[in-house]
Amino acid sequence: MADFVISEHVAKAIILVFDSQVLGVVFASAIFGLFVGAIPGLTATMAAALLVPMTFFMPPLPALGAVVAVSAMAIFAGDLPAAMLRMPGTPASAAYAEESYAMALQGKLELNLSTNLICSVAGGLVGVGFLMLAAPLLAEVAIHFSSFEYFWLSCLGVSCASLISGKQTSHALLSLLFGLGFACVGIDPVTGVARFTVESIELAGGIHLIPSMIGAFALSELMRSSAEQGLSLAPVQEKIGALFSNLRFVATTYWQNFLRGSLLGTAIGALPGAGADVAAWISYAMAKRFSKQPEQFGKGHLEGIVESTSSNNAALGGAWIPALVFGIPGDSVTAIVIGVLYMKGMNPGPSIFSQTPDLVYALFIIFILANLLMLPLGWLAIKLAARLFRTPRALLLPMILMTCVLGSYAMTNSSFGIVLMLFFGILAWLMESHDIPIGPMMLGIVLGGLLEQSFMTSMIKADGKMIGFFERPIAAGLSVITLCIWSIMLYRLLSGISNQNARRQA
Amino acid sequence: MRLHDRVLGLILIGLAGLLGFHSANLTGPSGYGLGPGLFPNLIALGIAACGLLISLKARNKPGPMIVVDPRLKQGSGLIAVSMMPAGVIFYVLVIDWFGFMLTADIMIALLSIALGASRKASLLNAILGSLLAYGLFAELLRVPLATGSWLNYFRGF
Repeated sequence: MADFVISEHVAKAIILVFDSQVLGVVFASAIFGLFVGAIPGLTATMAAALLVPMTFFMPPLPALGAVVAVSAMAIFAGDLPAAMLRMPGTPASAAYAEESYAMALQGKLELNLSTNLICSVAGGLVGVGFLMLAAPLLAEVAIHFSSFEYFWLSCLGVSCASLISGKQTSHALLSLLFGLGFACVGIDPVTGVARFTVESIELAGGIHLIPSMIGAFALSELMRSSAEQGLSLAPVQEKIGALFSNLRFVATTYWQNFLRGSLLGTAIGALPGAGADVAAWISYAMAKRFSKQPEQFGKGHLEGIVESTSSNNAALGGAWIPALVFGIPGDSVTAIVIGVLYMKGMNPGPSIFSQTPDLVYALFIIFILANLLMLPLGWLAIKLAARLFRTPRALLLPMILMTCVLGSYAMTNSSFGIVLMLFFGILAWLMESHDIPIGPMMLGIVLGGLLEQSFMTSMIKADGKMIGFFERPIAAGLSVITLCIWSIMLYRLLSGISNQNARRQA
Repeated sequence: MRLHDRVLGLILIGLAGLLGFHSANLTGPSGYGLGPGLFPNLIALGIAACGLLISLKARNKPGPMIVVDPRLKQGSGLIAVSMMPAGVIFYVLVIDWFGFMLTADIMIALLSIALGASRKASLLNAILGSLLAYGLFAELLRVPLATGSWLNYFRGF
């Protein structure tokens, strides 16, 4: 009976997906993602943030499909300038940019790019496979969650983000606290008191997520890119020869790297706060650790590339698991997705699988479709890459700024959205100048409301007694994991100080 | 521009104090044990702790209190970084008076020239860019873009 119900939902989902509007939006977003991803300095998150204002005016499925397609394509496209210019198009390609460029210098550019393309497609499909399997199963467990479990889950989400951000723990924690602080602006959900609104009607509604994301991820990038105008973009090779000629060799030699990269990428993607870039770095390190030829790494060796390029695309699917099931973003793109879901009235959480199952299955199909679409479009992008890099940035950056301004305006229908974008853009630029990552701040803004509300509701339920937070079995399990993470964070924070002392004494 | 971690830590402690002071003044309806200031207060404590840690870690770190990026020290670098925020401020200030088309044309053209494009290419970029943005946002997505109050002067004739 259950199988029949699922197949009925899948059949409905297929009808929803194979609609001309949905397919058109996915195709156009895919091309946009390839373009943005291939321009060094413009990230997949920025591409997704720029798309969101357009999705405001679309039905839910094409809106979500657009974000899926744009992020998948941008992550792959970031490999092109990494190999041809030694400039990663997105942070997700940074881990193996040197290695790819070394291959290109040895005349193996075609082998490198075709391996990147095939592994990105296959890694992406592994990530989607896990998303399709794990998300509905987890949702069945999560449907019984109360405010206690959601409190610990939110804590786990924000703690993971600070722990895995790759920067100093104190800086990542600070960024997170900024985000949680911004989430307090507006009417307090429990008492109804206005907080930090400086008597502004617009601020009473809270910090609008989309303009703040456009500012933090897009405007700050534009500020950085405009300062780097002098960089020349001369590719190592103008003409690309035949692709896919050595793929049998790659498949038979490096299949283990592919499998390990895809699985690890999915798992890292599913951790809140860790995205495709972290997945690629860890997979590259893992490939080197288990390699029989670790001395070849950095000299144009394919092993690490296979593992990390599969990993970063697999992470995309993995990141959707906590986003859909718990409403906790797995990475910065899914933080934007959560904003889109709320905008469309599809509140993320386990009930999304029972309330809108057709849409969820349709989303899975779009994921598969977007990854398959990457094959022909990726091939085309590789062939046109040299021309893509010649797009004059002096003409491109003002156009992107215009899109940021209009996108932020469209979200609030007032200049308030633009001012908010400007504020977060400058703040993110300043934060990055001080090595403070911006990802945890955005996660704090997304999760702040849930964290505070679940904490307050739980305190009222438990009559102010903290023991109530540990009485339910799943809540107790989550609390143990969270407390372990907090202990690691505290250890790292304190060891940072003691290391300084030791260095001083030495 | 980068502040020394000691200065950054002190600024953060100050910021936390300010946040804590404002949070202490937030009072909820009587009978609520957990007031609206509880969460912001905890955040203020966290920021203060981070500020203290950053300061402590950097207490023996040498170097000037403020380091300015060499690119920013040259006038062109500073202009390059500030031109994007300046473009946004210009847009917000004049949009109601000039309207979307004119504001977008001026903004895109000036930014393109400042980034090093030729005047002819910048002008073409501005005209095509503003038309494209208008078509996409105003016509397709139905976002109400300002027409500009300067046109009212001509409406009387």
